[in-house]
Amino acid sequence: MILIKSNADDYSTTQVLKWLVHFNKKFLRLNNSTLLKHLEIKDDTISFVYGNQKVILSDVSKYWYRRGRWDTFSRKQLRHIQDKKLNTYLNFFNKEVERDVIATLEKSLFSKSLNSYQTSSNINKLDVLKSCKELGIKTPETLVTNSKEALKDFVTTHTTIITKAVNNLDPNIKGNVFADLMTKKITLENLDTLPKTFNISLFQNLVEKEFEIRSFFLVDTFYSMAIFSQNDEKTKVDFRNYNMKSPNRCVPFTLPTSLASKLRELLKIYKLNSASLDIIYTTDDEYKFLEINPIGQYDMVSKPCNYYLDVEIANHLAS
Amino acid sequence: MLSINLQHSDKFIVIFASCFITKGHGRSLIIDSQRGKFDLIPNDMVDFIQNSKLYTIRTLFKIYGTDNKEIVESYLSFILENEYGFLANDKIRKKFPEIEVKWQHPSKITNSIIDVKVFETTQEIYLQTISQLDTLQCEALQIRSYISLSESQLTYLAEAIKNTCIEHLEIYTKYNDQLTLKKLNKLLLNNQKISNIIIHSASKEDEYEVIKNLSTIYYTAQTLTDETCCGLVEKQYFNAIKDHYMEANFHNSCLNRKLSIDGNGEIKNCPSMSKSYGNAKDTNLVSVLTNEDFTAIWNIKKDFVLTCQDCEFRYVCTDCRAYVETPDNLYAKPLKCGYDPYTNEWSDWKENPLKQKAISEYQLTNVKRTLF
Ligand code: SF4
Repeated sequence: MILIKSNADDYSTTQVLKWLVHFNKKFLRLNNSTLLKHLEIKDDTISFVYGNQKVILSDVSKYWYRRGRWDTFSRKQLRHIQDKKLNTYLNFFNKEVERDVIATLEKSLFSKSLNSYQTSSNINKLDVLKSCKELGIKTPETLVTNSKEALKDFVTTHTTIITKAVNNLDPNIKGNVFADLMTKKITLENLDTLPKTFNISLFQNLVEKEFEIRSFFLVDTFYSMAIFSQNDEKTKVDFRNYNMKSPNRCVPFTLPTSLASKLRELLKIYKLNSASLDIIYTTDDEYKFLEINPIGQYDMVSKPCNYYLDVEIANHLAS
Repeated sequence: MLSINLQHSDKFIVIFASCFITKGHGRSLIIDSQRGKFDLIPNDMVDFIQNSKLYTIRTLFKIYGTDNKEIVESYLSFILENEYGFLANDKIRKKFPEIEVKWQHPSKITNSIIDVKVFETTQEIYLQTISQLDTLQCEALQIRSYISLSESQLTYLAEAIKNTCIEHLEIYTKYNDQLTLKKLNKLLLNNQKISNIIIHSASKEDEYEVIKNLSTIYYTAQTLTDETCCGLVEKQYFNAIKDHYMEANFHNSCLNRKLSIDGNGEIKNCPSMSKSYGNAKDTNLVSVLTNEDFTAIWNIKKDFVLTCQDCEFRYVCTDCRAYVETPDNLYAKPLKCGYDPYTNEWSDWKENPLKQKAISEYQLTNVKRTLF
């Protein structure tokens, strides 16, 4: 049986499952609201009950962690506890337990896994940037700071910079301009609106791009796409600011082999066998790596390039 | 026109992989499959695009000579202004592979049509049909009612697809003043999967968007009395979106993975075709798919169809096998197409003297309807 962990509304999961039906493969899809009932960890055997079916993890042929969290305790029930302190304590306690339980559960599935919650949820961006340096993968100049002074120096050297979340939960600088996960431009002018100190944030110099590259890595292959967004003022900083009228040109792209092998090394460090990578091809003919997103929307690469990644993933899970 | 002077450029012009060129007998079509639009281009320009893969722009100007300088300039600006292509240096241009032309789908049936002539007849087979379509992972359903349907009848039809694979439901129904806009709006809000409702035989043309659902209610004065209204080939129905382009390269662009049930419950490729594969009352849809006659027609692609195979519109056009110019030829051109790819002219197909025999054979009485 193939085990899939996802969210109820994830379109890509549904598409992959259609292929598994097509291939006549048995699977079990768990969503973020699916509570693990009768969970048992006994010696080497891990099992839980889904509906009226007992699922023994050693029977799982492949495990795909797509997205969402595992549920080992009822968050709904917790909400009914009126006592605030008790509620906070129980929540904290349960989450700690959950972390260890899921780590054990996923460890037992590791050799059959296409990604895991463990590897996907804890990417340290600062660590990744350091690994890039070591592997010789070029990145934009980066500063992590909570001080306006330091930021000012950085802006002065690089003219235009952008701010990004340090991690996926980061609230970023709380202020009227930057409190947003989308990449935003910072210049000497709008710097003045910031307080002296702010939440630790990540800043990078804005590299002039010829085009962007979004690459989806699956097992050992990169499926890459070039995104031409330069023509359009609206999408210059971050192409997630979609321009609906005339969508950015998205076409298949082949990464140079030397870069691809370095990126493979990088993914190996973080134990990822599937992830989305963002890269910029600069006007100076250089590749600058931006970030890894383990649970990226691969469909936005698959569709325009006709890669049929749903089939590739289904094939991998069915094998 | 292009402001930059490209004459001395050492760059190459690269056509975006999402833009495909279909060469026709007299001219060609450049299809922007990402944006769903297309333009007619001369066949000479197709040759130019071929050459541009080999030579820098500077060399192209040299090869075409001073006499053709303006033509080269116009080709280049046409490509760049419409964003069909971009400029790239020699190093980077090889990193852009072509899009692989392929089409795959997990569903055994992707789309279905159910015709309604007498509501009770359809009702008798409806629930079991929907459940079988669900097993086949059908994604889109079109219900075409030649009669007026009440609010409760429409609700019945829509409710049944709620927990199925069917993601898009389009309903045609005849105008009746009981069926108010308010009722239709409620129906749409309760049934998010309805993408369009088309009210035919109405007094005027009208259109209402239900923003919350991204769906539309259309009113049209055109009438829809029976199956013969279908099968028109006109420019406005062309589809340049990638998925359609890809499918048309391998399959029949109307009938592939389609299963239809006509007003009498007969299972057919298309309600307008005469051949039935049994009545849905007592025939399992899954078993119909094992009949090779039923599925063979899915593979009659435009490249096999006479005349169409030389037409520049062949991969954006929707085929029709129900009404063809010579009814006994499996590969004949669609009857209701007025285009001639050899002269590149459009004319009214109904007036074409060569088509009169087929028109009477199909008993197409009122051929003026253009609803679909
Ligand atoms: S000739 Fe064939 S392909 Fe061309 S427009 Fe007519 S029906 Fe379509």
